Amino acid sequence: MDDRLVDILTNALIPFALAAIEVTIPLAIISFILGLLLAFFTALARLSANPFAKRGAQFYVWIIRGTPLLVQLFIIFYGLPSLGITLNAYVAAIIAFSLSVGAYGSEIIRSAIESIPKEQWEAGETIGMTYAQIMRRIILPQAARVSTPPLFSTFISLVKDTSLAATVTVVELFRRAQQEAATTYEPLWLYIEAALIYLLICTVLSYYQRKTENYFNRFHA
Amino acid sequence: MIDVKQLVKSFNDKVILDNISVQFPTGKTTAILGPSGSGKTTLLRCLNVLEMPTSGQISFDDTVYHFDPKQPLSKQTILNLRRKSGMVFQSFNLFPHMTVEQNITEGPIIVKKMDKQLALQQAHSLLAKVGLLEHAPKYPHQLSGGQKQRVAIARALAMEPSVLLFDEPTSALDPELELEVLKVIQSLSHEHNTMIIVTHNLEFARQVADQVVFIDAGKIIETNTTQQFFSAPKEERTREFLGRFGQLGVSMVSVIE
Repeated sequence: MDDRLVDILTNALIPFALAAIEVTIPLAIISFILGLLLAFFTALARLSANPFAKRGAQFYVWIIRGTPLLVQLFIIFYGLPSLGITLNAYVAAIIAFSLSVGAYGSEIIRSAIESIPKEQWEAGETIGMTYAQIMRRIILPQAARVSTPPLFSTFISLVKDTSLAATVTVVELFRRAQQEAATTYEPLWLYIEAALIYLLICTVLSYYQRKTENYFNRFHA
Repeated sequence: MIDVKQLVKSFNDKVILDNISVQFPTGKTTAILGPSGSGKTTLLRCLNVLEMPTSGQISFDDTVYHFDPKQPLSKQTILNLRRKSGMVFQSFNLFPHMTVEQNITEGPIIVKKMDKQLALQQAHSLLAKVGLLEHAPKYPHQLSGGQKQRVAIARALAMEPSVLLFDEPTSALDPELELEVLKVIQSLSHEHNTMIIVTHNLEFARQVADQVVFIDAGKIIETNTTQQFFSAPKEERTREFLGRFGQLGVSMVSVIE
């Protein structure tokens, strides 16, 4: 590696780090939190006895899982303006990512809730607890443990998927790398540098996944 | 007194409980015996409305509950009915994410809105009663099966139900662990708690019960005092059952006494 290349990579490090800290990470965190809320209520709707709630949730999951995230993002950012809805690129990205996490996450949460033995419901019922009390105090804490690994996988996927926001003019980490590569003609090393930053973020997430699992394992043999 | 009248439970077209009428006197222990699939567990679960009876009525002292598919009970009525009884399951069903003492205080704090300190004191005295006080801060997975079942009994007692229901409480336990649970149940019987125990441990039923109800194919064949039931059963079907299972029962714990 010659000095020029070292200079290019060193000079890119600050803008890359800033793009990650100011755009990529907040985009991922905000979308994940909103998506998780959406996922939770969608899972409850799927499990509810109300046929409208159930069908609505099924329809939403069907549409989001059955179409590409990139296409959804384009519909929201480039498509909706023809209906008179013009969104800031950042907002469009958050909507698309949250909807995606909501759909995939709802299936994770639903299956985690369903994996808790029905005897746990009965044990709650026999001490006189209501449906809501059993759900909140008995089922969800146990479902949280079951859903931790797949939800972290969703979060990690999301961090990488935020790079799609580059296609709707959001200057996040990947877009920043494209800009640097275009001006310096060093795509190989600059894209590798960007990839390493994604890897670093995901490694931190994997670490927190382990911590969370250990926390839940205190009550599990 | 719990008075069950003309109770029917059917799943689709299959009749599980066929016109059951039986009384469970206050302060007494009743054992429900019968072959596998006879409906004895279903009867117990109907008393706690874990299974919704198809028709008939159940009275707890002066409160009468009618079951009619055309007029389902409200959620609140079901909760009130359920709170009259405490259930102890064959597979314990402790809450794995809560410590032993949290398992016991959960009902009193959440359902009865009891003061937390008070609930904890009550939990500790119940744990002392079942001999597990030093295990209060542990999680269920750190306990043996017999210890888990004793915690489950304490959890049911904490709600101060008017009747305790036991569904095969020792069937999932090794014989040496079975004994410690049987002892606890027997001491509760001596304290004149109202209890209904589904079991196939005949020797235990003979030692702990005041009354025996024998069920076969969803019908009550015989209701009798324990003494009469084992020494001079009224029904031919009962004699046949005792004859067939009697020998197996002998090896069980007579150590209790």
